[in-house]
Amino acid sequence: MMGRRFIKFGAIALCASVGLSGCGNDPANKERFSAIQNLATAVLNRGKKAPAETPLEQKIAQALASTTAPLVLFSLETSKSTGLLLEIERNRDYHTYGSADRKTIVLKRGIVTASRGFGNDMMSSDLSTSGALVRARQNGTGQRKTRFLDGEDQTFTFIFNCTVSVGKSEKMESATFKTNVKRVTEECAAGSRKITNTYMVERDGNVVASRQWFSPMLGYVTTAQLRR
Amino acid sequence: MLAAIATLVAFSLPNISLAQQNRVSSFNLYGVPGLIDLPTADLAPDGTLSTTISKMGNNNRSTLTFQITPRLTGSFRYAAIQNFSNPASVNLRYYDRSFDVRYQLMREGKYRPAVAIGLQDFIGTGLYGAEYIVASKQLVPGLRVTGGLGWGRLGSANSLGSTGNRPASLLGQGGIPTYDRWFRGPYSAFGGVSYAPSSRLAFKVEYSTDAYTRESTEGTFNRKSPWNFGVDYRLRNGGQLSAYYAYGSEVGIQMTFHTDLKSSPRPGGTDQAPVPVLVRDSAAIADLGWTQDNTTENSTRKALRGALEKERLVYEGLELTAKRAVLRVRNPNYRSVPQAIGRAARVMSRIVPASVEEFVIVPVGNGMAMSAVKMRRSDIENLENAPATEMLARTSIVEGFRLAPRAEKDLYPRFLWSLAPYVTISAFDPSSPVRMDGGLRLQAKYQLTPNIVVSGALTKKLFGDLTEIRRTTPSTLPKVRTDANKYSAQGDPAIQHLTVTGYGRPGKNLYSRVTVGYLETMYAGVSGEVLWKPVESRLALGLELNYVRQRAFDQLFGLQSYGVLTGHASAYYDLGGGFHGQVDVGRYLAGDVGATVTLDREFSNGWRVGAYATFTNVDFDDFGEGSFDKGIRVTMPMSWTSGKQTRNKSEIVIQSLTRDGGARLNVNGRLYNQVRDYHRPEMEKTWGRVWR
Repeated sequence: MMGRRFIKFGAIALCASVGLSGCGNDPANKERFSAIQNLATAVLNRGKKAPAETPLEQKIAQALASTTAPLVLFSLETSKSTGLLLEIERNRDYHTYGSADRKTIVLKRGIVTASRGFGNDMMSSDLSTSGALVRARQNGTGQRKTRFLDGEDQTFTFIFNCTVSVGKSEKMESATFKTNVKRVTEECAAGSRKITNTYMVERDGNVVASRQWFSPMLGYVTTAQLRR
Repeated sequence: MLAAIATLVAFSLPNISLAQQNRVSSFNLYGVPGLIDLPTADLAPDGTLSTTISKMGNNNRSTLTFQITPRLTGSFRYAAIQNFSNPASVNLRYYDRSFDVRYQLMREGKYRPAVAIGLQDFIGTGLYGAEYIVASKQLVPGLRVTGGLGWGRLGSANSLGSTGNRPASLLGQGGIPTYDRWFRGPYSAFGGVSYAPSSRLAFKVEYSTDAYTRESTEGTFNRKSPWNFGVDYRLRNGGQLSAYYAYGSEVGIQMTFHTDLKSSPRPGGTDQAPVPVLVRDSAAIADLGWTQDNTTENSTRKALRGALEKERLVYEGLELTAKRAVLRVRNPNYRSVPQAIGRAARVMSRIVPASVEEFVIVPVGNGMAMSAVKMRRSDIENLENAPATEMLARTSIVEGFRLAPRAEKDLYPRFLWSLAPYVTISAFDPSSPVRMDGGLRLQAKYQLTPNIVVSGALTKKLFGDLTEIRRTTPSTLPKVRTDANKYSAQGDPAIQHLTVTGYGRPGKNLYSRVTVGYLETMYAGVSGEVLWKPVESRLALGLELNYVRQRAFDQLFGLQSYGVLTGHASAYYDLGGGFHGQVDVGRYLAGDVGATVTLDREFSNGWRVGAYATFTNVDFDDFGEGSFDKGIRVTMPMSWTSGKQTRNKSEIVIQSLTRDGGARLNVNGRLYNQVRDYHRPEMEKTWGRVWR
């Protein structure tokens, strides 16, 4: 009797030790349990601090040394996550920057038009008249459109009416270059949604640094060009 | 089981905003919009699934309520009453299932109240049977008054009058609508008030006209007063916790969780970023030098295989000419097919020689070409940063018949196996609401060719009590489904299934399946199916024919003498507006002839809530308790909680009772759900993800 019970518990323990996903090479079966695993990990890690990482300065130096591609430092305000994005592709004015953990942000002359892999991603944008004012460093009013997916995977569009105002000239120093910029503020509203973007814009329309609205759930992102 | 759904839902809730959840009105002990024990005329937002667990004295109720349309609400309830001396009670515990429907006749306006009409426990034994017309109105912010007229239970105390006779006898063998009772007999006026000083807190008082007659005579209920008092606390995630003092003698508690099936905890998902599109050099487009030999073609194949694997897709084959590339690809992971297609297109833009302008992506499943998606490469380059609809306008989704390139030789045969825990659940046994077996399941799949699969599953039970199901079945039908206890007792270890299946495309718009072997736990034999489904159509027609023999109770290789020819003609139709209907007409396992009607509310994020009913030529008395087979089903997409695309889903079917009439064969690999996702109507629903 005792023996049998032990065998039973042994078998359960075996499968538990193999992981909730069981054993095997069938990917469909493995995924079935990943949701539970994620949940378990989240519960177990609650309150624990992530292990100490390489200091950011060191990472930046490494990234600058190991490539010649344009490099952007970004930081998400709500999730307080900071990372480096390397330019990986250009489609006309849309430049895709990627992170080591496969997240991407698409920048058009430094203005965010899309993101992928962050969750609640901006799917696409038409910067149109408002974006043109920002790049031209001109006061005025204009429009921009930004698209997201809702809970049913349907696209919804924020049609923002924006007021662009140009502030004073400033000198900026990046890791690899020095430049003169103007502080440009873009205040936009779409229904009850109100956002304020701030850009440091060079004479040719390039945004060197910024604080921009990123998505309804993730709030604002700050960006800084480390290398153009 | 309802508790399990509640837990599942509760875990996924913290991400839904409070503002959204505040729109959900207070729910009552019956798990429907209401005060304490009484209904109000309020609603939940369209598509809300609500789970309530409540206890008031000896009365335990678990309710699943779904807002079927903006005005129509449906509920399923499982109740247990302790200390209830009824012949049907087991150890003085009485279990009862009930269904409610209600419709909001009038929306609340500035001066006019919301008005709803409802049927409570309108199918079956009718323990909770009641009908009502109720009005609710907010007087000042936070203060709501409700008043109504009730029949049945709600007319059982302080009645004002009577509308005819309310019969007490059962129609059929229970389980059919109690239309002979509706709005008949004594009626009473009930009402109440709720006051919410903040968005988190509400106080409620009501005057109940429910006499709790049977609970008082057959149970130990002591109704001293018609007045009930309660307080609600609203959790951050919209959940409701309530405490009550009811009928001058009982204390009650309640917990309700809401899930808005139209929303998502992670809208857009958290999948890794796709690779960016590569725009060709205009000079390279004219270069056809690569067509001179096989070098480029071979390296293209190799590169596609590796790059698609990184996108969680499986490369199966390629046909490459100077201007056109046809990709054969398998999608094991993406619930949204457009997302899979978009990723394949992005990968192709980076790898396929620049002269190629036309991309044809042919998704295959079990060797069958499901459709063919044609895109121009210049459109992919131009529209990567445009709204997804612009790409849809330039994409054609066409019939995939004979378009799939041959699978690469080294891909098949393919062997997959897994060893994982399992549970088999049986609900609503009269002596125990949930019974289950659990243990380990070894599954193996040997794909001989893309179209031929040998598949088996072996289980070893480690614990369980399904053997204890002792339901006597006074039925004249062959016991085609009611021997579950014997199968559970003797089938250890058990071969759940062991089959060889061949899939095919016999012609345009046609898909086929033939399965031979031990088809499911209780039947072995041959099963054949043909499906007609044009790629643009919202209609599909299917024909399935099976000859099966009942398997031995030990679920090894033996067979019993009972054999039957069973099969159905099916029509599937996407009704639009999120509704999907299915009708199956044919011969069931017991040889009975009839039809099953299924209606589902579907959400494009993968959630599905539906109901079905089967009517056959077995008359209600021969069928036994329940009169006919019916049930509800809830499908939850696993990608909804995790945010990561997966085709896995979790389905819960709540069947009224497992009986022998109207029973169908459970063969694996039925065609419709394999094919449908790859056709235009379904792809359009999640096309927004094409560049995701």
